[in-house]
Amino acid sequence: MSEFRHIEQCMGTVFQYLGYSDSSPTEAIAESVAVLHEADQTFSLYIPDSPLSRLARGETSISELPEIVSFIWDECEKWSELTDGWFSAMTKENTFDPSGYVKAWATIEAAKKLTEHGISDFAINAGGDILLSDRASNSFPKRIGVAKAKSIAETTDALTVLDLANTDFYAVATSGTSERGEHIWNPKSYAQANELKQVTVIAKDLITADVLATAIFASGSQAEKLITKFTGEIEVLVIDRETEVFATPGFSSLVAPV
Amino acid sequence: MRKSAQIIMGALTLGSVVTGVQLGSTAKSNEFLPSPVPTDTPTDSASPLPSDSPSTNPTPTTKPTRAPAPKPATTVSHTSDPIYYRYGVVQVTVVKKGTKITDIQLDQATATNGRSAAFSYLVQVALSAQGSNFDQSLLSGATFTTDAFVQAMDSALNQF
Repeated sequence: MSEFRHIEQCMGTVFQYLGYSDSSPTEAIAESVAVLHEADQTFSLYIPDSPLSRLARGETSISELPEIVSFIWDECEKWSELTDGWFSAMTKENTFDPSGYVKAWATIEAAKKLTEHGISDFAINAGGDILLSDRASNSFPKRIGVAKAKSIAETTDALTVLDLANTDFYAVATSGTSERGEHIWNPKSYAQANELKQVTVIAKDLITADVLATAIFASGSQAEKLITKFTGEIEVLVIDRETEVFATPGFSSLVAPV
Repeated sequence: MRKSAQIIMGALTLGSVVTGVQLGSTAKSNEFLPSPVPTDTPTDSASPLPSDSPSTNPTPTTKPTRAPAPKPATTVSHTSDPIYYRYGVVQVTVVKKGTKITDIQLDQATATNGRSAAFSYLVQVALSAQGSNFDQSLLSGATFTTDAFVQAMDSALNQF
């Protein structure tokens, strides 16, 4: 088994691959990143002639677009209902922007390509949201660092390390204002969500982790209700505006011993 | 949020606010952990011993042999390519003594909107994480600045 690493720029962020393989992973990685780029070509709102850009300009309709667009639309609707409206792929201009969802979905699809090539020990960091292979052996390290909000980092060296070995959790996603500034909207008021500093969600799959990190962050002071709804499915770490740190009961058992 | 946070604690029995101890000693918040980041020689244990741990240590069957005196490690440094990213440019020089990273110098670290403050933090993280408690590429929650920093680190480390 030899280690492989790969960095792919896509969707305006960086996808980092880390894994172990008996054979050369070159072909598997090529197929995997092709999935990411294909998703980007379809769903990017920065590519003027992408299907989503044309949809946003009202030049086409969902029914005329590739079936995958309808699929993602339906999935986003489903998650909107599951989160009581705290997750939404609709912008305040009432255009469809599923970029967060698509990043998670595409990462899962990209991971499948590695699995199809017989690679099971790997992880993908999709711009700060991390997928662990659910077939990874016990020898694959399942330790994931959680960056803390930058405003805390300025004064302390704050970092938590999770160890997901021997658990059913294969995904960690973090939403916060640490790096990109305030970029998450409250889908109910369309104001910028700023009641929390950072939300980290550990889940069984990357879509659940990613969607709920965003939704919980957006829900701000309503986070408790939303977190409770998913009890048993996720573990959550919340840093509020006063930089107080809170976590669900099971979270601390996932923290790696030092 | 303070009020709501308290509600979260109650309703979910979040129990104690998650302190640095529970998060592992590499983590701390402003309020709860005044102690410095651990170096690779931690002086205290982060968690209490499990109650069912054996009360006596097994006696080793063979006496450990004394390790041979290590060869003096040489100090080598390499400078990364400049990594241009969304908010600026980052270039680092990594200093290694033997296999241990002893220093990371920020030759260039620019970022708009005060984001450059993140770099000194990232240096600390990179230094303290070399004990491989987690892989640098598996850091959740940092995006552009960290990406650029990680690329610069890779660029420098690949030259060793």
